[in-house]
Amino acid sequence: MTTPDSLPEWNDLLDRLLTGTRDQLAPADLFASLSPGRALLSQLALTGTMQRAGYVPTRERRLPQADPAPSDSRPPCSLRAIDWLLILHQHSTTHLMIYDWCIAIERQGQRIPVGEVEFVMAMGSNNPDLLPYIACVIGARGHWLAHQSDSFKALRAPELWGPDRPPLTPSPTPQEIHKRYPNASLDTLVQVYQRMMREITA
Amino acid sequence: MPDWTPDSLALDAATLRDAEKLALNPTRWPLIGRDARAAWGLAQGSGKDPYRVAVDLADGATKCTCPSRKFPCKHAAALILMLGRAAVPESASPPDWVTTWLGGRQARATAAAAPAKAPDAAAKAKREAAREKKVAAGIDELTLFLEDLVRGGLDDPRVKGYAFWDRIAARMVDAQMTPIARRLRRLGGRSNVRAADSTAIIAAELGQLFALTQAYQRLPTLPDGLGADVRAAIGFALKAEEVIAEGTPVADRWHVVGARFDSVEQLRERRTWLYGETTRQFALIIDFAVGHAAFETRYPIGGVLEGTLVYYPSAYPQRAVIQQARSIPTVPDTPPVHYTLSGVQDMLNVYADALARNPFLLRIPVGLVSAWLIPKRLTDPDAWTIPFDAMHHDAHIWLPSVTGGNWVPVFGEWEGEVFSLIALHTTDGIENVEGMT
Repeated sequence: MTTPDSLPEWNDLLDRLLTGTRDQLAPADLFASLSPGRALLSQLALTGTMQRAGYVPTRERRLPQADPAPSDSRPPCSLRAIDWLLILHQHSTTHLMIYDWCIAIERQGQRIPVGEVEFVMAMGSNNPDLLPYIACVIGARGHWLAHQSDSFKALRAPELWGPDRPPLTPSPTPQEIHKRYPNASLDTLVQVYQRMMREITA
Repeated sequence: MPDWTPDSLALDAATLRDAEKLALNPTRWPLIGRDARAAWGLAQGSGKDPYRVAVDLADGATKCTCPSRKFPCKHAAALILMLGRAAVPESASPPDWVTTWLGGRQARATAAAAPAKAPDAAAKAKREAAREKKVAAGIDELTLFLEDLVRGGLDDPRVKGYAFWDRIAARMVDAQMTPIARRLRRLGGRSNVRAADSTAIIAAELGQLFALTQAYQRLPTLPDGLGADVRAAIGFALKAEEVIAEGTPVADRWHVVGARFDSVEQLRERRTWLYGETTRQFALIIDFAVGHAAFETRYPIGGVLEGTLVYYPSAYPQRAVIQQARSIPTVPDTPPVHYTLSGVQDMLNVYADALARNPFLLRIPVGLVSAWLIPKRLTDPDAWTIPFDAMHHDAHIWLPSVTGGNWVPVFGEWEGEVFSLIALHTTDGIENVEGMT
């Protein structure tokens, strides 16, 4: 490909494109033989491609200093367990079962995978009753994140995850939930609870 | 490599929620069962007669007598969810309506597999000539449009509306130049924004489109690979079987390193990037699904496929089609293979080389060993910084949650002016930005 000795300035091309070539003369360069419109389109093609090929990044004055979250000693829970959390979260009747979900995950020495931490913490921000439970499973990444973002400041409270944390109240039984939500099928609630506990503790 | 599983359902949230409700309520299923070929059930809706629901276990195809226009409907989705949870009991024999449905599917499959009539070479040549003629007319029309546009200038008020761009895009669809139509429609959104950046983006795109029109008119003079790139950019799509028949198979263990999704009206597009362990080449697999239907094949992010693929002809081959492959177990804690570039300058060098081979290239895949990510900026260990799109609606919280405030390996696409994130490596493994496929 033949290239001109000097490329037109990109900003000049943009000015010409904005105002239009109707009253412009053909450029005195490689494209002089073309109509002003074709010449401008050719210059845009060539200069645009060369700009992309010669993209110049900016340079930071100094490197960002990592302020990393402490590493987690607990392994992440399974994605199947996360699926169950989403299912429980979707229905008002199963919402209270999230308590036992969190207690079971903590008892197994597991935590939420880091890719799901932000979503689960947001779940807690919208449901304050879940905060003590969520604090048990978000791991070191979650506790670190709570101090990075005011969106999660409710999760900074030391009483949620300090050594003096009060014991967590388990979920109501399916029978108790059924009393609160008589329209929900008791059989279904029992089945959901049993299957959930079986699968997340497998 | 059909690899149908219940997990491959691509459901919208409402269908999933309804399906979950149904799946969790045995009283809504007066009959349910399965055998080696199919699963079936009677799903009690609001009417007197329950709906007849069936799933073909060979490929996940579903049938339901409910009036829903969603596919799969909530009843079929619920049956599939129950299958995935082993909650469908084995049964001795399916009801007649299931047998009839399976028989009809089998008959249609047999008919489709029967040798097709020998293609009529003359008719094919005639069709191809007609297509070339249509595209040539479309190229002329596009050239004229571009010339008129720059003559009047972008300050012309007509240019600001979507309608201006939609009109020429529709003409390009008529000319069977669909990719060009898509690019023109996108400019409609840009032209509404009066900002220096958007003018520059429109300018670059107009230049590219003009270059494509000129390249198409000089096709016989272009090298084969570049000619194929120009034809593909204009809309001449090769069929997978043509690519396989004419290309060279490349064998490797292909790591699934990330995927992006796009949708145009009812058609969803999935762009899955693979990386060859030995060839050290990226390969892009593009597939489509209509409406809410699942993609035919699953490519779990972080998984490995062993087999052969064939690249589409190109001066800078990226897109490929899988000839045959099977999933193989991954070895835990194996270091990832596709973070090959140490920084931004390496990436820009690769991109410049790629553009020299194919100036119409829109993007390249990039695996950076280490990057510092904040919304809108990516910095490498040498402090070089480029514009960055985290592809996440809440990037200012999501990014620190996945990076943990640390330097991380990232995979994405460099599009000439911005790095679009596809996946990154967290302490728990690969995290695909748009969720698992």
